[in-house]
Amino acid sequence: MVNKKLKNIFISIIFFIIPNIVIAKKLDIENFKLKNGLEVILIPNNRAPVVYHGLWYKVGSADSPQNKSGLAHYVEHLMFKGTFKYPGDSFKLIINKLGGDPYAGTTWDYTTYSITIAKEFLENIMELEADRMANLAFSQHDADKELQVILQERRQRSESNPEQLLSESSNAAFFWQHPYGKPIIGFKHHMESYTHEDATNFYQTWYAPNNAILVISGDISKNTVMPLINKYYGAINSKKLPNRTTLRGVEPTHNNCTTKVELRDTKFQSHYWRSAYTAPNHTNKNLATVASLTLLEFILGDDSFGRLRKILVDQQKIAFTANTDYTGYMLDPCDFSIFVSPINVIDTAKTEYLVSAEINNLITNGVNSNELANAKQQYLTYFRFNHDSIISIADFIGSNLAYNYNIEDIKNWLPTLQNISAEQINDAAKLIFTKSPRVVAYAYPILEN
Amino acid sequence: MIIMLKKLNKILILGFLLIWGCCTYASLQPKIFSTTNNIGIILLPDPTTDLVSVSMAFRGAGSKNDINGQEGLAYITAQMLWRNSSDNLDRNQRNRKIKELGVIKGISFNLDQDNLTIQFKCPEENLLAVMNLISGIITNSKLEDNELNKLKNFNNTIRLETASELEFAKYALDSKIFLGHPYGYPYTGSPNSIQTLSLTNINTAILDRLTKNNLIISFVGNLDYKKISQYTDQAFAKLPAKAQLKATPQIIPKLDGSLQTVIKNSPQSGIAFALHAPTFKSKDFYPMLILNRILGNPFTGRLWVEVREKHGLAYEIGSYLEQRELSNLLIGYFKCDNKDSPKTIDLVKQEIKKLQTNGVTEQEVIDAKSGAIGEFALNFITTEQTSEFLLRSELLGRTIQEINNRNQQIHSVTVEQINKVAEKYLNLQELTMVLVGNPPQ
Repeated sequence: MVNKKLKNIFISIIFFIIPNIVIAKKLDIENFKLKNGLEVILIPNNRAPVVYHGLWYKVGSADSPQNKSGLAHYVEHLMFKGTFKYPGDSFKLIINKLGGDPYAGTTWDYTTYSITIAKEFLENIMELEADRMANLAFSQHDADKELQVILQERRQRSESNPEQLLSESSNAAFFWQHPYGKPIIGFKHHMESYTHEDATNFYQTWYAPNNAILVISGDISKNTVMPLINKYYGAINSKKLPNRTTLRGVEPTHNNCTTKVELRDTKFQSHYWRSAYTAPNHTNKNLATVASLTLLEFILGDDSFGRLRKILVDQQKIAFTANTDYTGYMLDPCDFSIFVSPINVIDTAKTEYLVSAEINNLITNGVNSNELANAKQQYLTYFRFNHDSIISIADFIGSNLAYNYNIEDIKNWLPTLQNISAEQINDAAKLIFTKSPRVVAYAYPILEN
Repeated sequence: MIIMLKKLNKILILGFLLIWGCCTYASLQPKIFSTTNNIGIILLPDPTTDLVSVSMAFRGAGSKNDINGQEGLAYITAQMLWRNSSDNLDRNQRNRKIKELGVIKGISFNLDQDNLTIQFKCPEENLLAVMNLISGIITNSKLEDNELNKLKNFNNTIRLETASELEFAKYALDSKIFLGHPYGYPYTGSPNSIQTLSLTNINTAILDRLTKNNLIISFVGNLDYKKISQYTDQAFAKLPAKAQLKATPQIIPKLDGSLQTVIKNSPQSGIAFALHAPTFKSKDFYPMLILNRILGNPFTGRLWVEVREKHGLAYEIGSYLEQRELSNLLIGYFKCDNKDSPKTIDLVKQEIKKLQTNGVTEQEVIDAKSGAIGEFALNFITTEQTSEFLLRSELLGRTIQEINNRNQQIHSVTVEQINKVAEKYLNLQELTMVLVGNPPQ
């Protein structure tokens, strides 16, 4: 699964001349759509004789049917279990024999499959990927076996991981109706109920060229790649797709109520505290608001410069870490969260008090120009780094398109962010923090006996 | 259809070798030279980026220098450099400065038995400032007793107890086969040895081990020879000229065919094993590389297929070639339920024996060669990977020509060569294993 924190850091975009930073000259991106609806992005870069082939399907865990949470993730696993032409584990075996590096991941909003491989094998993997876009055919035996694998994955990643437990519990409290309140991997009892038919229906409903984005980066040229794309993907028929918004439903208003979540467990190594506020995303607010909140995330929660770190870690010395996470890069509105790991149990109350005081200070006095300039500079540096690899640039564009940003949004992102004023950040802070947090979660370690 | 694809791959591999020449990293052609101050430089110019990736090593400054009774000195020295203030900046101020200089992934200090290495990536315009900062950490740190005491009070045995069974097994395997040699000690030292260390020891280690003539730096970025020479000499001018390193004795790992069990109360057993392997310079190296892929590669290797897929006994299983300055080994690893450990060990032994006795098939060799050739290009996706790869190669004594010929060498490996190597190295009487877990009596 995509790391949420990283994903938030990597949000931004391309093709512009940033003062003193020439990115445009290195990026030569082409985008177009096939007749069957497949969106294609090509990013040539001949640094090494390698290509990255990535597919994003606009279907994620939040599109799983009611009472089948996590089904999208199960299907992601089954995508490696063969087609009529390449049955069983053929896919993995062939990639291995070609020396490729495969990856797959499921988020709430999309499912992604990628392979990095020597450029000479691009056609081989394109044939395999196009084949499993249309012809997945896994056996009952493989489906049963893979179910055990994902149950094991849940045990390892969620049930044994205290931070994940806290995240699962607080998300469930945050969303009363929306499927973001269910874990990406699914609830255990839902997972145990998956059938071969569930997975097949899900695959047949959502896996189609008109619900996918293909990004190819690396040592390619349009002239050589286009005939291959047309040959392998052009022949696949589009499908009528369900309306995701209707299926997901709308989160009701919460009457300004705050839900408290408390976990005590021997698995916790230290204390955790989370305060989560409702926050808009690009589908219900303009790009400038999302950019303002992205900069606010740095100003308040950066690991080195953030206000919360200075107060709680450096000055008061009551916490190991203090940071923020803004999930504006989601398909539906989500949260702006503050995370602190207090050193002792008594520090939790003090943390809550000091965070609240700092938020009041922020709302009253706003941010200053130095903070804003530093946040922009830091953001631009992240931007440069994440565009210095054929994988991260492809991942950036593919995931943004999967979140329903269009190419224009992507083009406008960085200029929008650069033009954000202190007043806009102050307005965005008021938008978030003048309401009560929707969830405040506490996790306490307890001793074995 | 799969067979047709395999045939196609044979043709494509040849194409791959030919086409490797038209990219930025075509065949790798770094400049290798020494600065006026005798610092070794590997420079690979890359005009496609305005960021610079840097990997540097103090060759031979690893934990093998620690004398008896002072094991852990190299580790504590590296920790002290990182924890204490330098150039009048405390650790937090320095971390902020590093971020301001655009080193968003930070500066990593890594220590092993052979070398101390340092890696970072930064915007080109800040390169000199970052190099100056690193130099300041080494030459202008204010080492304090209270930080040393904190490090001494941290019980390193906890690290080992919380390590996974496999990590623990690998550590125990090293202790067993390199008994009495610095490779047999953990680089972190022991609680007792660390207690003996003083600030004087640390200062001496810095002056003796972190010097100009054992410093090698690999740069990948849009840089030229003149600029890099100038930056390097300027930034590291204050380092002592010549290293005073301890001569480390040669060692032949003691592989006696035994199985050692370390009881640990855990649901699974982690098993690490070792066999001899040839050095990179040996004619056996490339046949061994392909043999190892046939034995221990994920998905396709015999251990994976037999133990995991057919018998379902292990989730993680594989093998790799471990190259250090003074040893070359084939290391295998797997994890299984405690109750299944005897059966799994037997299966692993059988597979190794079968390979030694019956050799490999032509198809296995075709597939393994194809995979090994294909995956090589993945070392150069990012400039960080490339600079690290070039540095590692230099530390292991590989020439650029040898690196560039690698795929051709693999291409020419034959079934007969692999079978000879299998017969020579896959010797059960030398297969030495360590199990960490709670197996049945």
